Amino acid sequence: MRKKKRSGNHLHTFFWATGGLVVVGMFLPLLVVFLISFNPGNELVFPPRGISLRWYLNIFRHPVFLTSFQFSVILGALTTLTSLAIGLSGALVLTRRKFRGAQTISAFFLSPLVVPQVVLGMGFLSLFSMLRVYHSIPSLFILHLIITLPYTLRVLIANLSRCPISTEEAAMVLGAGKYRAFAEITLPMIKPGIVASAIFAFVTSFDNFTASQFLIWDRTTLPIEIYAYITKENDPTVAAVSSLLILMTMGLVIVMERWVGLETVTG
Amino acid sequence: MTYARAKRVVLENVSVNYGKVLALNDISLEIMPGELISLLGPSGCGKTTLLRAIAGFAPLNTGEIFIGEAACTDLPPSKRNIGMVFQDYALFPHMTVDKNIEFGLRMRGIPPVERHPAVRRILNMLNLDGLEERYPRQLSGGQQQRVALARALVVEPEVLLLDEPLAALDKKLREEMQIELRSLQKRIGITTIFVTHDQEEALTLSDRVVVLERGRIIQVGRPNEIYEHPQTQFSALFIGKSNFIQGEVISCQPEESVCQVLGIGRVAVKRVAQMGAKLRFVLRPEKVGLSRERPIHIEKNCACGRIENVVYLGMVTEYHVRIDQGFRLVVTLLNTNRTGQGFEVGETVWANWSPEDLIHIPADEPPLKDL
Repeated sequence: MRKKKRSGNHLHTFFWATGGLVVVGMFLPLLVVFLISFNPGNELVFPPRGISLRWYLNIFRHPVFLTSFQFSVILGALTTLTSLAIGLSGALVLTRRKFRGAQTISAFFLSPLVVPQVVLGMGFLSLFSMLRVYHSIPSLFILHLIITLPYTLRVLIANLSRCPISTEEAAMVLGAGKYRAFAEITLPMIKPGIVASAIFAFVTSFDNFTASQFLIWDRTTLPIEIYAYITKENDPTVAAVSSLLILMTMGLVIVMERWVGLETVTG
Repeated sequence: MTYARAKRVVLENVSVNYGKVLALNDISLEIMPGELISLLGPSGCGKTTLLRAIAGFAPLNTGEIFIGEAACTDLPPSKRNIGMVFQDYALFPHMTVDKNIEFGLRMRGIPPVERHPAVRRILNMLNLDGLEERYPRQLSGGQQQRVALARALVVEPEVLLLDEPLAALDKKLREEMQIELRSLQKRIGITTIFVTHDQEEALTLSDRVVVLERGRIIQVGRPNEIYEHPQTQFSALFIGKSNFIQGEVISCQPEESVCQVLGIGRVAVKRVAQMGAKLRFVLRPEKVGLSRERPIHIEKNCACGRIENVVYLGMVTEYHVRIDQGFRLVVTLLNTNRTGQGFEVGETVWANWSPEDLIHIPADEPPLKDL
């Protein structure tokens, strides 16, 4: 049996090899960062020359890490919720109402994807300066909204266009009002898309550095604080911060897996 | 489940337009309680729009729709108490069969203790026992179709709307479902409106057929009336095969007129008409006989031609007979002899028919009213 499928076997090996390389390429750096964070000395060396939690304790001696982490989480959550709300209403209009210019509008909303982040950041800096808005909260919120909207919109449009209007109509014929039909039928059908775009939006907002650095007035985000730290110091504290973030992300993934089933998010 | 509450459905001067396109043009129709009526026509004729108008998904420009005694023109779909089966079934993919069927009852605020027996009854009625916990994607096409039907019927609607519900099934299953659907409908006696583009299906299933073209009703009638007495060329063309014969009246007698038809010669028709009037007729292919010899005692209503094409269809054979001057007659003959052999291509034959079988087409389609 097996000998007959020789070419199939070659392909099989090829896929396993590439798959393996991708996994190794993704996890090796994470592993390195994780191990470096346990260095007892104050230099970033690999492999670590011992095991110490010194740099983890050091995080707490720098309250900026905590405050910026808090700010990043709040900003990310706020951005995600707003981006989802706007993205969902936008996707609904663009998929359910056939009107002239729908394509143009959808292209317009996807356009921030192709604008370099530096340009975006610079643009917002000049704009907010002109408006005399020197506060990080509104300006970063708006910036992150603009950056995340293409993702949420795109994912939700894809999901909604695979979900025929007739199911919602069937619910209406069966006695559900317009909003109830949407909540009971369409919303559960696009749940994977909503979860996926929420993760996208949150991660994009939480990780953003390039454009965000232009709008740091009274608050800073965690990536910018990490960057500021390594320009001044050269010890494994940032590795410890990163390790904590990795653990947090893994925890989140496990929760998602339990809660919605990850295959619905990635599929 | 008994249906003491089959309702009459009345459409009065219903018009619907999409932008500048008039999708339904002044439709008036009365559907009797318990009747199964089918809306038949080619795609774009407005049959689906008409169904959606009754469901409340296509807002009317003008006109009224009554279900029972009450006007429901301004009611949203959720308040019309109708059952509807969509072409793609529109089952809820994230719900089990049970939950799908229960949905309408839940929306009506019926408590679970009453919902469960109702769901069980309808599952049993449609031979769906044992599938309660399945998801729609785990069902075959026929089963999905039944679930859609069960979901529509469990709420005991006043009228059942079916939008080409059998179109997605293969031929064999479709024919089975046609019979099943028909007997189910008769058993519960619910007023049913059925959209189809399949003329055979319409003739098989319906009490009456409504033929639609470009947003207008062309003809309404029982299946045999529609077939035997098409009112327009469109009806005749769309339902079954037809030969069209056009002639000028050259003599009138009290009982019949004689027409001169190009290519065929003199044709007697059971119709009184004025001299010189132009008449048009439909001649169904199965009403024409063929013979090798010139039929005796028949002068009119026969024509000599050459067989141009033979199409063997199993039960019948279709012959294309070229009469003089380009006129071609389609003739179908039942294959009653065991060899299945009939006339050959190139043979000279005589076609004949009786005057009663020439169906007069009263009028052309009335001119279309534009917006």
